[in-house]
Amino acid sequence: MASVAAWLPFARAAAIGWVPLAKHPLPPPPFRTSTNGISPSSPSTSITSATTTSIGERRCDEKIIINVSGRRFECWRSTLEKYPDSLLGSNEKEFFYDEDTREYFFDRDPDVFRVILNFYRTGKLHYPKHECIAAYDEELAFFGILPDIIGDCCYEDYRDRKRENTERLLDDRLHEDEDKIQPKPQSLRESMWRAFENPQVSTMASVFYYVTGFFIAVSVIANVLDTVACGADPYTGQPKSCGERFSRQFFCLDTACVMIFTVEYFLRLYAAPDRLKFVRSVMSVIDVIAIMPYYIGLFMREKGEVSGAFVTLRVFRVFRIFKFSRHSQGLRVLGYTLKSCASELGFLLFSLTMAIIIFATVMYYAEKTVVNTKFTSIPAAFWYTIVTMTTLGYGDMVPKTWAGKLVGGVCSLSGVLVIALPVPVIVSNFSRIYHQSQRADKMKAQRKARQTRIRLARNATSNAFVAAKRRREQNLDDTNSSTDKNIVNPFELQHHHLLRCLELTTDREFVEMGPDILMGSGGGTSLIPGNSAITGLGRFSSRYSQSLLNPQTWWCCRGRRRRNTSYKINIERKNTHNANISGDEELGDFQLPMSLTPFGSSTLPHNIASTNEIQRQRSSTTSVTIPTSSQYNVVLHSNVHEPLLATTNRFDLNLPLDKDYRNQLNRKANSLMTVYEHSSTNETTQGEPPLKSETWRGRSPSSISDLTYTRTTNVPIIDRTTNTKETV
Amino acid sequence: MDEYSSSVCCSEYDFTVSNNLKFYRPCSLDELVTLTNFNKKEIQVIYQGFKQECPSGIVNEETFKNIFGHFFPFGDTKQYAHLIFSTFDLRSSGIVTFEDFLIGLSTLCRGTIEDRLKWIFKLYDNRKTGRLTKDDFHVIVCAVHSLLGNASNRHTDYTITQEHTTIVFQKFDQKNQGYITIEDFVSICLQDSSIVQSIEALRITV
Repeated sequence: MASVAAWLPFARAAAIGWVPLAKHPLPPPPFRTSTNGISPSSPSTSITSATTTSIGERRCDEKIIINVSGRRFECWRSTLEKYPDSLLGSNEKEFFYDEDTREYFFDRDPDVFRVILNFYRTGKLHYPKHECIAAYDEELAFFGILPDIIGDCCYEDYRDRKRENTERLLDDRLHEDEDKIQPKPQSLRESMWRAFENPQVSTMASVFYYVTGFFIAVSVIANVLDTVACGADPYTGQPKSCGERFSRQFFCLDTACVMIFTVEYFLRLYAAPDRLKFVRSVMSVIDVIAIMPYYIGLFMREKGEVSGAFVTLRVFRVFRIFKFSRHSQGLRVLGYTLKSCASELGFLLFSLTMAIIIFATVMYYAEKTVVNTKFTSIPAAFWYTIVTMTTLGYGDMVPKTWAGKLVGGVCSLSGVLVIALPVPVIVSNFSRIYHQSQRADKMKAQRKARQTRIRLARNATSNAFVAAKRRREQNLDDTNSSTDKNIVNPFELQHHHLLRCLELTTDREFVEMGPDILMGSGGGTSLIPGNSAITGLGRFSSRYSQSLLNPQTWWCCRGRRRRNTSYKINIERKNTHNANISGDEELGDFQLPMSLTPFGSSTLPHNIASTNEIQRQRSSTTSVTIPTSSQYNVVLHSNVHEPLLATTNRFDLNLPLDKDYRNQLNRKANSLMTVYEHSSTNETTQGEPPLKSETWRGRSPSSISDLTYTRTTNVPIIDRTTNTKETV
Repeated sequence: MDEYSSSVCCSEYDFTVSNNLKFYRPCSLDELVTLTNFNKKEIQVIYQGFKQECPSGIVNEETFKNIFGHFFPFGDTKQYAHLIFSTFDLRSSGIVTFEDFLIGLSTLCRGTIEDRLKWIFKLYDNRKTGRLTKDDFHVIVCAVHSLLGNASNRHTDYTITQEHTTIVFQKFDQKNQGYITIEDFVSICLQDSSIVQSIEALRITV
């Protein structure tokens, strides 16, 4: 991103504010600048030269060359000055003037610039239809042109597309907020509601979803089979329906279904955040209608069978089929479409009614004279009209007179027309709504994937920095290293220097993070408070304290110290280290999948063997994950107190070991160790010796991709204090 | 030194307001060269980068926050961006124009060490009282720590920042007055060679 690189100087300049707060002096800059400012005399000379040239340029109209990303445009100066309140028309373009080539250079899209230059030439701003609306807007904003002056020929198109785009963005943001606003449900009620609304949230919810679906189907099928003829009645000889024959079984089935529906309804009622709204909603009304007949039937049976009303109520049982709309997206869309097409449907109905009445009247009077005619009244003729208009033509009522037949013909023709008109509107509405809902689902899935990618990318930046730091340390340790620093991206170099300054200012360190942790928590580099450097080491051994004051030798010292001591303590400390270390907290042991190639693992047992004491002490609290071929994934770090005490005793300390101090030491020891742990394991992970000439970009993404795809160990990582809980 | 507090160079506020679009145009290149310590080429480069990110010509706090967000991907850049913004915003107008931006950059990159230290003092003095108290320090320490992005544990953050603030404040408040004036600040910083060295470490090329 070019613009980000352009702002790096600003970020570095702003970082000057950290300096008085810094706990440690900052490292020297990674580059050499020859000049540190310009002499005071030069501004005046440049002014005079500028004025002379500007005066010279303004003497007569001359051709200006504008170079936009390689494409050269030429125009008269007076053309551009037609609109003095835009970039090209004002002095602002002087910022883009290239003295050497005597042209104005813009690093923008040449195609859109063509359109913009045409605006200056012709006075009309057009909107190219193939152009993306957002890109076009950006270019207009850059060149200081308001979109309002788009010409009439293109303005409608521009406005429509703009509106569509903003709506879509708003929609997306709304959905994003919806997704974000949902925190983990706090109470049983909320989690139940979530389970009801989104069955894919948990397995319980899916089970519930499928069970209710099954029972709806069973109930509907039972209703249907209830009426099927099942053999003859032995007494009367009449065919008997299955419902009468197996009335008890059907009754039991019905009872079971209704009980389930009732329970479901009351659970939903309990879980609903807004009960009144829930009760008024369509689905709840359908639920009630589906189960009421049964209860009413129960009560009515006690009072004596009123068979007419009872039978009517049974009809309502068929409403249970509408409960399926919770399960089917398509049904919901259909219902929504019908609702939204209410006006079209209303028009259809109204025009049909009008036509029916007209034709029925005419038909009646035409057929009045016929003997034994079926057209006994106008309402009787309605039936004929409807059947004819919808081109059904049952043939139960047929006109006999020629006038009637004529009218009948006209009726059927007009029927076709009237019905065909509103149907496409309804169809298109349905299709639009359906596709919208499909798109919404797809967007949700894509958004999750995108956010993961974004987090990975951010993680990559941080990891690149940590990797860079480690490599630098290795370079300094290695006496015959031949690092070719020029290959490293200068932007990266400066950026990493900036991050390093931040670390030193606050006395904390960035830590490499695995991608999986980002899934659980919201991301965030975990830091190791306490010591990253000098002061901690000084405490460990007074011998080194002098050399630690100089940052350069500090790198070496740290390396050397590590080689001597940290190896011993380090290996078992696969514990993950959390930033929340206070003296009193004791976090769980984390077991990290460690990735060591066989090459690396050979060093491991050696070190373990050499530190038997510690191993014995540690074995109760820590468990060593002897490396398998799993991938490296150091994520967080925890703190374990007691064993560490033993190790701190090993360091020749002349310090009072009171509690705070001990804790501080623990922290510092941990930080040192874990940092070193990264470097040791990272070195061995790569298999081949680390290529010193590789740039960051080549390295870190591959390691991250390895992290993502090749985790093989199955260790639980439990963190009591943060919210990340993960079982791989 | 006071150049930027009082005289802001002439600028054409091109407030063509339509759909909340305001285009702001800075004053001419030549004038900017006189006002700052940059030469023409450097100003051109800075402006091109500036314009790319803020085509409307003015920066608001949100943009600052995003810019810092690019460089400190995990941090919460809001507090720090707010402090930097109010320091760059010379007229406390709520927006930073290109002139303000350039003048600020010029002080930071090409100014003398005293100028820079005074700028730092202004950065810390968010409430513009002329004196720094421990609370001011705490604010800036929290802002810097939040750049690191460890939003996980509030409690530990607080203790760490308190510790840091105390250390720093004691270093500067040598007279034990409870507040620090600009002269004290500058003189203490000048005496501390590591600070001077560190400021040099953040040298930039444009």
